[in-house]
Amino acid sequence: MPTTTRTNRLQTVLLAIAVPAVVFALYMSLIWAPDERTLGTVQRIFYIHVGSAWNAYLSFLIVFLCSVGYLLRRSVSLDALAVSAAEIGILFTTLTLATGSFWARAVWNVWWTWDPRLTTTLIMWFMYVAYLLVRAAAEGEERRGRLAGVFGIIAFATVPLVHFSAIWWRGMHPNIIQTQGGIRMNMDPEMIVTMVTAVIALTLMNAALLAFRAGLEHVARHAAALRERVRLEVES
Amino acid sequence: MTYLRALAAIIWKDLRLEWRTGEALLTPALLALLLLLVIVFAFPPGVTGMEGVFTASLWTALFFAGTVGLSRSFARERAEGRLWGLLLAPVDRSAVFLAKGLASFVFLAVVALVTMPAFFAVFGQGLGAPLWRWVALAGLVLLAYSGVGTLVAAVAAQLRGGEVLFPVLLFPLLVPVVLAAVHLTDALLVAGGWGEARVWMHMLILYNILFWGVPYLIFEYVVEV
Repeated sequence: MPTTTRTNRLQTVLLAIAVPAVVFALYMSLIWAPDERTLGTVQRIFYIHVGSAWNAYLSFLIVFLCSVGYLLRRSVSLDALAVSAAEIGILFTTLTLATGSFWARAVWNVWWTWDPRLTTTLIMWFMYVAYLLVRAAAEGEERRGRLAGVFGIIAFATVPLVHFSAIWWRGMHPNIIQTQGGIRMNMDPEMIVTMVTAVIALTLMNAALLAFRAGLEHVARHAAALRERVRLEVES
Repeated sequence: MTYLRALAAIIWKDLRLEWRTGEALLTPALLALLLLLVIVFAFPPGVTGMEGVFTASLWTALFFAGTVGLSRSFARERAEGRLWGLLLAPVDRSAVFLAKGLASFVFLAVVALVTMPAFFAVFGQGLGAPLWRWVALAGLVLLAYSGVGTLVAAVAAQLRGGEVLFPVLLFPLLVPVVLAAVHLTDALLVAGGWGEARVWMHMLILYNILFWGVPYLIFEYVVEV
């Protein structure tokens, strides 16, 4: 496959950028950024938390776009990208839930509460696990791509509804970034810089993971096709 | 015109099939009543009077019982290549979705009609609001449920072990409907509680538009052969 070397180079470059970026972002979050006035050092988990949450949503947006693209074009690469983004999205959702849970234990004195954003995030996690279940239970490459594409579209369409229903239900999650009356951030400038750095670093890591996972998917499918060919030749 | 005729033909076929097998009516209705029994036994005596318990029991039982009938909606079309027959009909594929969805809605409505009075009776719950509001609420909730349920059932029918997977695929998507149903029911039970609950009515309508509109657009991809 001629694409293999190009994919490998992309993977190497992305990883070479992403790893130092994440280390740098960790340094900024854990050492460089100032202590929060009331929450103290516990607040530092916020940077990774926000970065993970952003990347979870980004990954699921990629799943949605690739799903639409796959149903229209039937391109195997788009399907490979969709499954990769879904797995990475679940990873980042898990990180978001875990970091949020640690923070809540320290600040709210509970591991979990039924706040809208927590509820939405948890349900989103279930939805994309269900997406992977659809993939695992579908037989045949074409059918798997098609049914996963359908589910990837309806899952993404439901996320905003789940979010709003959870907001109307009850709310206590802190709103750091306010959008009413113009976008305003209730944060120290150094904290904003740290947050943006963490978001960028984790997005780069997301891109690197995506490149690796999609490459792996291609290799796996290539191997399956080879195995099938060998089987046919042995039988004949 | 052919579209409407095809729609009516498929709905009529499902209703007749149901009349002869009872799969989507009898089993869910019995399951709902059994769940009512289990819920009442599970609570300590005396707790049953609480409004929250009534609302939660009613919708939990109906949603769970509904999965039994919904998952059969497309699963039974798999046998003997019946789905192929449906898809060969010279009509837009969305007609198949609309017809199966509407038939499922009829089944769910009958199940609710039969079982809901039992819930009111067992919990000693009065109506608290005009009957037409209850009918409208249950109608909208079950319409949303049958829309999303039919779409997911069509996906699940094509999976290995799809009938087992069906509820796991369905319930995360159903959360807004569950929350809306519970809030609106509580609003009907409490006098004057309707004002604040209006936003939930909007959510329910929006959900209905989404889950009858999106399948209408993408259904031809769901049932390709």
